[in-house]
Amino acid sequence: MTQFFRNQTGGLIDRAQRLSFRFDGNRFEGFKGDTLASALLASGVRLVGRSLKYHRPRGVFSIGPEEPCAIVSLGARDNVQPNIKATLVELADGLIAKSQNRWPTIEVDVLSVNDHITSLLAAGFYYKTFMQPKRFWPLYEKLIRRAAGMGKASTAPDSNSYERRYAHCDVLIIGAGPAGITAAQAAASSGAKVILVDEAPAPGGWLRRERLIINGLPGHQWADQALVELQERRNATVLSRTTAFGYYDHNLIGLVQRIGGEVVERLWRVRARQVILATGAIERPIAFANNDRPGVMLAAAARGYLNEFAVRPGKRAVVFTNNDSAYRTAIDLQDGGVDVAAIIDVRADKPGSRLIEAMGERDIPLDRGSVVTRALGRRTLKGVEVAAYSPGFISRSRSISCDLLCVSGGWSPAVHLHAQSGGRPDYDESLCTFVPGESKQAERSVGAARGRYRLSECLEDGLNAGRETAKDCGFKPDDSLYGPETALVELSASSIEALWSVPTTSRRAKCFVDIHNDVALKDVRLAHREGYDSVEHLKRYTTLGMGTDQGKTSNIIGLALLAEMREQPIPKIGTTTFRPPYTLITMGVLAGHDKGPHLKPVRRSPMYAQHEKLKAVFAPNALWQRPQYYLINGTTAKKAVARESLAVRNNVGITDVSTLGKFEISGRDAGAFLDRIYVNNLSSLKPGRIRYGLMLREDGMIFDDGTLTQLAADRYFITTTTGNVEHVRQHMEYWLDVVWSDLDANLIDVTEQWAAVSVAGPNSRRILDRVLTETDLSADVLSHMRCTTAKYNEIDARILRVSFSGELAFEVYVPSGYGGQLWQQLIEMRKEYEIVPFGMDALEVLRIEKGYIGVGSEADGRVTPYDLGFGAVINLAKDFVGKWGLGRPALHEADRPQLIGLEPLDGRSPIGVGAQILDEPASEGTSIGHVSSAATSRILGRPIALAMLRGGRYRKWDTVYVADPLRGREPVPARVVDPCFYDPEGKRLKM
Amino acid sequence: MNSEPARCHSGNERLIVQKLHCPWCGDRPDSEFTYYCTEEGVAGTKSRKQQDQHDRIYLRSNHVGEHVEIWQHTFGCRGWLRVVRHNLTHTISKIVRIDQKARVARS
Repeated sequence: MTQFFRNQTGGLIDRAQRLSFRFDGNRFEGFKGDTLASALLASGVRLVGRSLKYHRPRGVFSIGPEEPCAIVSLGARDNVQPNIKATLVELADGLIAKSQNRWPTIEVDVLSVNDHITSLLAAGFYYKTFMQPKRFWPLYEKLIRRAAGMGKASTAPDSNSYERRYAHCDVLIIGAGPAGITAAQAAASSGAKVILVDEAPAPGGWLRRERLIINGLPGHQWADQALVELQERRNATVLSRTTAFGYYDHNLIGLVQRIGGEVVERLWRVRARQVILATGAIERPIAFANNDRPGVMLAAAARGYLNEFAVRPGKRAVVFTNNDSAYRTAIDLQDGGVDVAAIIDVRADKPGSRLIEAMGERDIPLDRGSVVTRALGRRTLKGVEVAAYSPGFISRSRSISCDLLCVSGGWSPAVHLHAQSGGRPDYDESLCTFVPGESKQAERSVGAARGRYRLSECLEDGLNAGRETAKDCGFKPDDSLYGPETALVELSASSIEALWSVPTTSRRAKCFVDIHNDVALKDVRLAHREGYDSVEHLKRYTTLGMGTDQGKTSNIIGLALLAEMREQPIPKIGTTTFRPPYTLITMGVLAGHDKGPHLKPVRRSPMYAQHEKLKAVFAPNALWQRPQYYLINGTTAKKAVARESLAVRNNVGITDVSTLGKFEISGRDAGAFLDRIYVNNLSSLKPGRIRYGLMLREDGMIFDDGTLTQLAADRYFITTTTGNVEHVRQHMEYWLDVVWSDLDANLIDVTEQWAAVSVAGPNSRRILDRVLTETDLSADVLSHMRCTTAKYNEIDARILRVSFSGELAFEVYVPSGYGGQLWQQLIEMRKEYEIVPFGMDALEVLRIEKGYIGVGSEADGRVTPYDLGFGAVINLAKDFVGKWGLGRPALHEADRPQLIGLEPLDGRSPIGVGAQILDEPASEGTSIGHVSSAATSRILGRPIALAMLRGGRYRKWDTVYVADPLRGREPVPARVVDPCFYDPEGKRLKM
Repeated sequence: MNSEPARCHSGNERLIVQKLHCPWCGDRPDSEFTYYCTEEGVAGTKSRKQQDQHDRIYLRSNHVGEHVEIWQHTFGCRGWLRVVRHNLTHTISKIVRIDQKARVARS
C-alpha cells in the first residue's frame, strides 16, 4: 500500500531504506527509522486493535511506552510475542504483526456486541455474576478469558537466547533526553564512571519529536553529537534500546537491553552509587464520550509522528487541551500540511496573548472556554461535538468534522522509578500532577521527570544534577562546562487548568478513563457508590491501571475523579503502588541461561561412565544424576527393578553410594560433639565400631539419619542422606562454631573425596575377598556394624559393614579417582558370580521390605523418633540437639501418626505413595494417615507399603482403606502390619 | 548510540541485592551468604527451662528496626558472622566475626 500520509520531506527516517512488513496478512511499506505505529499511520491504517472488554475499535493513541491501544502480536507460528506496543516496535524488513482481541477479523468482530450490553459488563460484573455456584467458576473463567483475551503466547519452547550482565558505576542516568544528556556530560567530565541508558534506538527523547534548537542545531542533531562525544570517553557507557524496568534496594537497577541477532535481549543488573532519573513526562488524555475512537490521539504524539517520522496522523485536526503545550501541535500540524480546524481550550482566560496572536496569524480558530463533549464515528473518527463550558455549565453542542483529535490533559512526570526506589510522589497543585517526593535512596529526578518541562530548565537541571552526583561520588566536576543554549522562546507549560473529564449528556456513550482496560467513568462512579473509596480498592475492583500499560495515561485521571466524587483533595487519595517492571519484559530475559540442562548444576559420581555403559536410566537425587535402574539386555523398567532387588536377596548386587554425604570429625572433643548432635547413646562406641545415628532439629523432629563410625580415639567418619548433605553440614557447623565454640573438634566435608560401592547380598563377602587384600572380612572379625581397612590394588580402602537392604552388605570406600576402576572390576566378575548392578528403585524396594525409614519419605520433617518406633535408641541421660523439643507433651500423644506397614487384603491391589488412609471404604472423608513409601516386593510376591497412621502402633491387624482418587483408584482395603516385612529377626544381616 | 558488544559473565545468577563485607574475605555479593537465625534464637542464650526454650525458638521479638542476625558466608569461607540488619530498610550497618559482639543502635 502507498504511504499516503507520509510527507515527502522532513522527519528522521531514512527514505532510501524501504522496509516491507505485514499487518494482519496485508503487505505494507515503511522506512528505516519507523516504528510499527508510525508505519501503519503512514499507510493510513487507523484501526489496529480491538479493546479488551467491549471489543471496541482502537487506533494508535500515543507514541511511546504509555500506549494503551495499539497492542499487537509479533512473529508467526512458534515464535509469537503477544501484547507488544506498536509504538515501541522498531520496523524491520519482513516483520509480521497481527492485531489482537478480534474474531474473525479486525473489521468484523463478533464480540463487539459486548459494546452494546455494557450494563451487563460494568465493574465487578464478573465477581457478582460468576461466583454462583462457586464450583462453576473454572468453567466461567475459561470462557471469560477467551472473550477478554489478550494476545496468545506460543506454547513452543522459546528458541531465543538471552544473556546477563552485571555492572557497577558511579552515576547511572536513565533517559537520554535533554536533561539526561547534560547530566551525563557533567558527570562524565568529572571522571566519574557513567552509564547512560535510553529505551529508544536513538538519543534525544522528545528532542526528536519537537522542533527545538540547541546551540544553533536542531535538537536531535545536538543530541547525536553529544552522544558521540560521550561514547569517546573511557568512563562513559551509553546503552540504547535499553529500558530501566526496576529500581531495587541499595541502588540496584534492572535494565533490559534489546540487541537482536543471536542474543535477543540482555539483562543488566547495575549497582550505581548515584542515579539520575531523566525519565521525562507522559501526556495524559481527558475523559469524554467516545474518547477512544481511532483518530483520537495524544496531542504531543500527533506532532511527534509528524516531526520524527514525517507522518501526518490525519487530514483535518482538532486540538483539545487544558494547557499550553498542545498549541505546538496545532502549529506543527499546520506546517506539516494538516488542516487544523480548531483549538478547543477549556481555559477561558489562561492562554496568553502570545498564543492567541499566534493562532490568529495562522488562521486557526481558537475556542476558549470550550470542551469536546463527544467524538463521532465508529471505526474511525468523523468529527467532534464541541460546547462552551464552565464548571457546572455546559452549552448545547455544535459539531466540527475532522479525522484527528489531538488531546492534551496535561503532563505526568514519569515518577515510576522514583516511587519504586521508595519515594512517595507529591501532588503539585499548579502542575496538576504528581512530582517526585523526598528521595529514599541515592537518586534524584531531573527535567520533565520532576515537572520542569521547558527545554532550558531541562538542560540546566541535568547539568546541575550531573555535577552534584559527581561531587557526591567524590569527583570534581568541570566547572568550565556551560549548559547549552536554546534560542527558542518557549511556551509556558505551567498554565494548566485541571480538567479530568467532560460531563456527558449521552447515557450510552462511554467516557474512558482507562482506555487499555476499558474502564469508563461510570465504572469509577459505580465503585465509589459501592464504597470502594480507597484508590487501591478502586484499582482492583474496576481493573483501572491494571493493564499491560500499567495505567501510564489513566491512573492519575482515575484517582482525580475519585477525589472529585469523594470531595477530597487529590493528595489525600494518594497513588497506587508503582511496581516493576516499568514496561513489559520477557520471561526469557529473566530466565537467561538458567533453562533446560543449565537450570541447575549437575553432579556425577566417579562411576558415572560405568553406569552409562550398563544402560543405566538416571534420575536426579539432589543435584546428582543417580542410576534408577539398568536396562541391561533391553528389558523393561519394571522387570529391571524386580531382577535387581531379587539378585540382592539371593546372590549379590552392587550399587553406587558415592553420593552419600561424608564427613570426618576429629579433635579432642569430637566424640563429645557428636554425642550432642546425635540422639543415640554413643558412650559404648569404640574404634572400629559403627552406630546408626539420628539427628534432630531443635524442635525434636527428625532431621537426618546415617552411619557414624569411630575410626580412632579422636576421629569419626559419618554419612548422611544424599539430598541433605548441605543442610547437615551447615547444621553441624552452626552448632560447632556458633553455639559450642569451646569444643575442640573439626569438621570436614569429604563427600567428594571418597567413592563408594555397596556390595550387598549373601555372596557379597566372596566377591570382596577376591578384590580386597590385607583385610579379614569374616563374620568373626568384621561383624555387622563394624569397620576395617583394606587394600584395593595397593590403595587404602575403608570397609563399613552396614546394610540398607537387610542382607549381608559392605560399603567399600576408595579415593574418588579409583571409583570407576573399582566398579569396573566388580562388574567384570559378573560372568563368574552373576553380580547385578542395582539402582535407586531396587534400593527403595529393599528398604521398604525391611521397614527402614527414608528421610523425606517417612521422616518428612513432621516426625519424631518416637513416631517411628525409635524411642529405645534415644539416650535421654545426655543433652542433645532436639531434646528440648522432643520433651513437649503433645509429641507423646497416643494418636500421633506412627510408622506401620500396609498390605492389600487381596494381596495384589497396588498402593500408591501419597494415598490417604481412611477408616471407611470411601474416596472422601477424614484422613487418618497417609502412605509414605510403597513398592511391589518381588521376594514376597505382593505390593507392600509403609505408612504413617494415627495411633498406628496400637492398630495392628486392623483393616483400613487406602483412598487414592488422584490416581483414579477405588479404595483398597488393607491390613495394618509391622513395618518390617522381610526377615524380621534380622538373621540375614548376621551371616 | 550503539550496543556495546561485550562478553557476558554468567557467574552467580541470583539477583545481587547487595554487597556484604566478610571480615575474612572482604566485599562479596550477598548471594554467597545465607541467613541462619536472629541472635536471640541462638541456643544457649536462654535458661534451659522448657518455657524459655520455647520462647527462644518460637517467640522472637521481630520488632521494626535493627536486629543482630547470625549469617554464614556459605559459598565463601564458611565463616559465621554477626550481621546488624535493619529489617525495614535492609540496611546492614555492621558485620563482625561470630566471636565478636555486635550491638544494635537504639531506635
